[in-house]
Amino acid sequence: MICSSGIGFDPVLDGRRLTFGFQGIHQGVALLYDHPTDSLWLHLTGECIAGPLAGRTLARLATGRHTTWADWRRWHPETTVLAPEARWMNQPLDQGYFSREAARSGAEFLPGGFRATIHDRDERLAPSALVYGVRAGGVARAYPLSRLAGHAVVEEDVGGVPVSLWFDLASRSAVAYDRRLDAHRLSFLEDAGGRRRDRETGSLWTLEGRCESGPLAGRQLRRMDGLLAEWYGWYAHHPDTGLWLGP
Amino acid sequence: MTDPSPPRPRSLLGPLAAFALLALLYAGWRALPRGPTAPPPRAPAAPAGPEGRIGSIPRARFYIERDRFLPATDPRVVGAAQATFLEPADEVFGVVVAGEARAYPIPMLAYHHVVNDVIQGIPVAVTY
Repeated sequence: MICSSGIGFDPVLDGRRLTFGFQGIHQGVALLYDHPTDSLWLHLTGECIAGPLAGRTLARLATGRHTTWADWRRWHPETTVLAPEARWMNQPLDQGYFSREAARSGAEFLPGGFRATIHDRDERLAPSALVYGVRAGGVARAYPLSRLAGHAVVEEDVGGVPVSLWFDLASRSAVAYDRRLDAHRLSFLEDAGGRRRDRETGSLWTLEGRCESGPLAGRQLRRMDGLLAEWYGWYAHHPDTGLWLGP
Repeated sequence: MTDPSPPRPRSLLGPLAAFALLALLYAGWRALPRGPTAPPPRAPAAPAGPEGRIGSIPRARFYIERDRFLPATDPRVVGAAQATFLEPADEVFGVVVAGEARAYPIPMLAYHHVVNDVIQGIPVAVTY
């Protein structure tokens, strides 16, 4: 709850760094305020809805991805990690911060007025079903993780862009790429070893969209604008969304 | 050998200075930034729009409680080898900025909701 969606933003607007704080909840998703203007921002879209910066939108970082620590560290062995507060440094995170279950259900910390803010609902999925949402060319499309299980690669056009959406079952991590590379339009498949190859050259690609071996070694696919969210939050912010329910 | 100096008359300056020092220390302590566990400051009214709206949205569709969750701003980070608080299956949200990868454990994001961070000198806001 509170949508389970991590998003990275570029907080520099007109040459000024904005820092954010928690203002409340709208459509079950965090509403933020900024220093120094006290404008109000929607977490899920990065839109400013009130205050001096109303009408502006923050740019999302294309590299953001939800995954497991093991998977992240595998592709980024030199990664840095947000450090817990000193008093919680040497114990499992769920001893100090919320447990994974509590972070998911919100049971320990959601205010009573939370649900009343969810105004636009859709019954096609359970409200808390996790979806990977992709946006391109003014079109939004949602892919439920439960349906992606068993589909390591899903290829569709979204808003005119040929998209290859990859799902790694072990880390429950989804990520979408533009299939175009130079003048080519690649298509991908999962090989017998569970790895992704492009049909055109047989090159081998990591979940991070980097070609690790083959004729295209070293090349990087362009990330699509996508994020993980619970269905209720994605739908409320994209009521025109398409919903993928299988090939 | 010299005579011991005669006793000086007691002055009020000593106790006064001690009191002033204590008062200063107390004021300084009060002014320290509070951690996320401190009681949040009183919620100021959200900016009101026309006719009970926030922006163009009816105010009734919001739950307002400013600073119910407190952000981590310019937080400390550690390298992967020092991240002994993480298990392999723990969920993280990761970003890559200017070649540096940074992982944000989900329980910490759920706790703060906002991390106002800087990676390789570049400001980043991670929200949840």
